[in-house]
Amino acid sequence: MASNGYLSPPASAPVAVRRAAPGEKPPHDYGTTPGGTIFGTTPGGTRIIYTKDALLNLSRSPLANTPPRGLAYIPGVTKVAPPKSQPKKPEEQKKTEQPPKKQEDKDDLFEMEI
Amino acid sequence: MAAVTANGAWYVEAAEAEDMSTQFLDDWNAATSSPQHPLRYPWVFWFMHREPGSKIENYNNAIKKISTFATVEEFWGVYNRLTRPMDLHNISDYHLFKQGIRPIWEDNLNGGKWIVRLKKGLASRYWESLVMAMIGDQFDVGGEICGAVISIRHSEDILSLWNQSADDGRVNLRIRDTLKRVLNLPTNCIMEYKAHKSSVADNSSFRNTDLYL
Repeated sequence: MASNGYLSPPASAPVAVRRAAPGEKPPHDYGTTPGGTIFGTTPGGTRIIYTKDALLNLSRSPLANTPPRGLAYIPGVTKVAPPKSQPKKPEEQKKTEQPPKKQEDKDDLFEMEI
Repeated sequence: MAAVTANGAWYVEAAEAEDMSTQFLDDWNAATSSPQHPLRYPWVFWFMHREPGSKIENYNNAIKKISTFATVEEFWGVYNRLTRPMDLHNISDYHLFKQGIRPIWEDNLNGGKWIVRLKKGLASRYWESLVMAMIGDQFDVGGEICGAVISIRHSEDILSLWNQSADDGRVNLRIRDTLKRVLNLPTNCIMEYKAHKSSVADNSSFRNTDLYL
């Protein structure tokens, strides 16, 4: 078949294989996935990488719209209801009504080594 | 998964890398029952303001902690409730620093910062890009990054990125190059660096900087 020289050998699908010498650090985009990183970790699990697109995608989730606990009230800076001691009409138009916060057990979940 | 070849080299196929990350996500969400996305580090937003013409008597008292976050979702919860930098009054700063590192020269005496000066009107966009690159761990320099600052001033706005080792040239060039990439700066953009020791010596954040192309 191929011996007559007219047919090229079957093309195998290109596979992205990147190699690094033993002990060498992985490339900086090691965690990049086709179509952009969702997030990736390096072999030791040390890095947690998010691209801008991945972060922007996650900004639409309901949790991302939950008012954070412990957000300081700084007039003109943080859009949060003032402390109850000084009743005041809320300056922000739309963000006053928020789903009840659901973060009770959050603090101990995300402790990470620094 | 990444595999190790006979000679010890590792390799990873793109399709497998994708599996790896989605698997990690699934594991995470199953384990926590809370679909949040962890960041590598917890971060703290700070705010500082002084009236034009006035001086800061006590920096420690002047800088106010806004909030801490450790996941992508918490980040947006805070970020979306902050006034955009370009809408702040003059002589205001947002700081975003790793939890445990205060944005104070004296606490980081071996460190320094890269400085990018922005025309008025660009601050919000560049700040957002820098913040996302930083919490997304785009700077591949180990634990070198301390935090970032956007400084709203009268005639310009200034973006700063603090790192631990002002004397480590290799790390600093890597940070500079990543900064240029994530901010999409022109290659001939002039960048400035200033060690915190120099800032303490001349009591100035943005004067007497070292220039780099």
